[in-house]
Amino acid sequence: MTELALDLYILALIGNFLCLYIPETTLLTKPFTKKTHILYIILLFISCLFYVTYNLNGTACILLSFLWIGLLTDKHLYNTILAIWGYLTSMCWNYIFLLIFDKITGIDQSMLYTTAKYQIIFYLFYIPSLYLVLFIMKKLLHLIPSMDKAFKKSLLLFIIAFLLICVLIYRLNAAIEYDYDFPDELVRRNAMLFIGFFIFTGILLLVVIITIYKDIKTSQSLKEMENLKKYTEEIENLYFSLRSFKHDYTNVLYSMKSYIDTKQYDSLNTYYENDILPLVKSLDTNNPAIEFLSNIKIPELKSILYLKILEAGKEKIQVNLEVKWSIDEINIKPIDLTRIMGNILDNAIDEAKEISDKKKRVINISCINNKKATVIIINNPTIQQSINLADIRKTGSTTKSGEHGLGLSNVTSIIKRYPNCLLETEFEDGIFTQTIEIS
Amino acid sequence: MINIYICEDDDIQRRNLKCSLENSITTYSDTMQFVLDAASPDELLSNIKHKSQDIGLYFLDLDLNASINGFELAQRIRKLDPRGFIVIVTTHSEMLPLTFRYMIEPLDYIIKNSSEQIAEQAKSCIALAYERYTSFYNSDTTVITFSTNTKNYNIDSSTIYYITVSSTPHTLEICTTNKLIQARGSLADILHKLPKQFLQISRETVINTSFIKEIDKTNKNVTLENDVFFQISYRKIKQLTSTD
Repeated sequence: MTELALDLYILALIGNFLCLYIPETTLLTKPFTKKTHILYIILLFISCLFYVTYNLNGTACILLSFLWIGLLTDKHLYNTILAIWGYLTSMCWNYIFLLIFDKITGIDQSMLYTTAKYQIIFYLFYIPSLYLVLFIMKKLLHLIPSMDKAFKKSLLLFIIAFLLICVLIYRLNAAIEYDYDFPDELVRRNAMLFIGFFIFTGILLLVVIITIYKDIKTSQSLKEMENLKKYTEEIENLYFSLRSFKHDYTNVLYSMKSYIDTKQYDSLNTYYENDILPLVKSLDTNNPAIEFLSNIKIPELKSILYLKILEAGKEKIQVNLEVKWSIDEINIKPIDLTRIMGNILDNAIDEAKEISDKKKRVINISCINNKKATVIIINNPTIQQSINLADIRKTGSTTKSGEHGLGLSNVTSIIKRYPNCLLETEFEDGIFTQTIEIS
Repeated sequence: MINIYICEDDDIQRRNLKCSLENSITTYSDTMQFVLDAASPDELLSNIKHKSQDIGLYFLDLDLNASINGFELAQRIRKLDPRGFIVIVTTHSEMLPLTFRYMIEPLDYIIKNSSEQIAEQAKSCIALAYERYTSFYNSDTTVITFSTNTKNYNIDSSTIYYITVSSTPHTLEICTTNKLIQARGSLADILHKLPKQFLQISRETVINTSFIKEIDKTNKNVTLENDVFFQISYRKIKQLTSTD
């Protein structure tokens, strides 16, 4: 271990701190509150105090820094992956920049380590360039579908483990370079190897993410097709029963005419009671809500409404659907609309099934096509005496035992992403109403 | 003054409704008067006029054979007379309660079944309109209007707990005793309309001080009746406690 002079030590401390802080935080989007941010900076700084270049301590400190990110941010696993990826990007850039720096100024790594003056010049140019590179990486990452909650925990942990191994490989290589005082040929070869490996890893992860995303979308489409199939069956049943009614009704009218012609009014009366009335009643068994579904021209919306109407029916809850005008298009991604409707309706069904009074066991849904916006209103009865409207939208708040309270907070987090969407929640006289306006 | 209008194209039904209404308003003759029984929307729309203190009570048949149907007529009337009372006269099968409530906010419905029932229903509508008029409009409350792209909310300021700026741009969140709504606007727009018991405690939040449940000076927060609490600066605490 080389004894470093005080100025070099301080420079190394600050340099190491920045070389960890910048890559780990630039790729993340607002992960910290003020408190956790300060805590992270303190913990990182303390870790850097023990960072003595390139031996085991250093590697442990780097791994610790990832741990701080994981513990102190929300979306722990996702942000940890971004932090490690940021670090790997910065190390790639580090290799490239050092080579360029050496070419331009003639200062190589061994000289950097021993002279404070050179280090300062180096950092002066390296830090801004690092910001630039990470900024570009962040923009590239925005093109990938977000890894929100759709990805399983086990997959995210696997990606983290894989990336940590990459970090270890880099550290081991760099340690060898340091021990041999940075010979040109070795550094160049390591640089090419590491950058090549980095690009390959990036492509591999990209392919994995895109494949999983496509998979999720496909299974969603399959579910929708199932729903539409059921809907078509119901329509066909309706048509069939209507056809057979038409057939019976012609016969019935004919019989009625003959009773009237022969003036057998008493028999006509009996005939009406026994034969005609039941026929009319049999038509009524179909769900009136289905009739209005035909006005909804968006297949995903039609599908989720139909599914939930059926589910409600199984719980003996009546659903009234009002769709006065045709709903042709909507300014929000269909998959998000499906998630919002699914969540709100699941909640509505869960609340309504606790109601014992059959007349009140009703969920009302209305879809309105105003020229300026589409408005969807859902209301349901609830046994709760009072609801704190501000609370229910937050994560973790729930009245159902064993549930995670994610339903309504999911709705609000999806709606937040759409500035053209507004949500109104109302609770009055035991009826809970949600209104969504999509402009 | 409440001015009563009818719009009904069927002559017999219109006459019957007019009769029932005129009979019912005799007890309220100093606040209500019958103005017009129109047979078409155009006739009704061209004859709506009243002083700014008055509001209208409109009985509208949905099933009109005219250039605009009863529903659009109701929407236009709502625009002309935002605080007016609208009663929808319709058959059972045309009823879309949730849709009507959102778009027109009717006072009540009259279902066309038989003429006695209509008279009964008309009478209860009159009573309901009178009750609302006297309680809502004669009191000292300030009504604030918030709008979204499709609806205007007229909210009594004494029911508002707080108003905050939403994370969605140019949007406010208003929490009242029974609703939590989002509407377009900024705090600057509405601050001057709010009565004096509203205090702006931060750049994003305005609270109704009459709903303050407790002020925690050590932790510097203030809790409202609905158990929502806000961080508040020491200066604002002093302002609150000095005006108490």
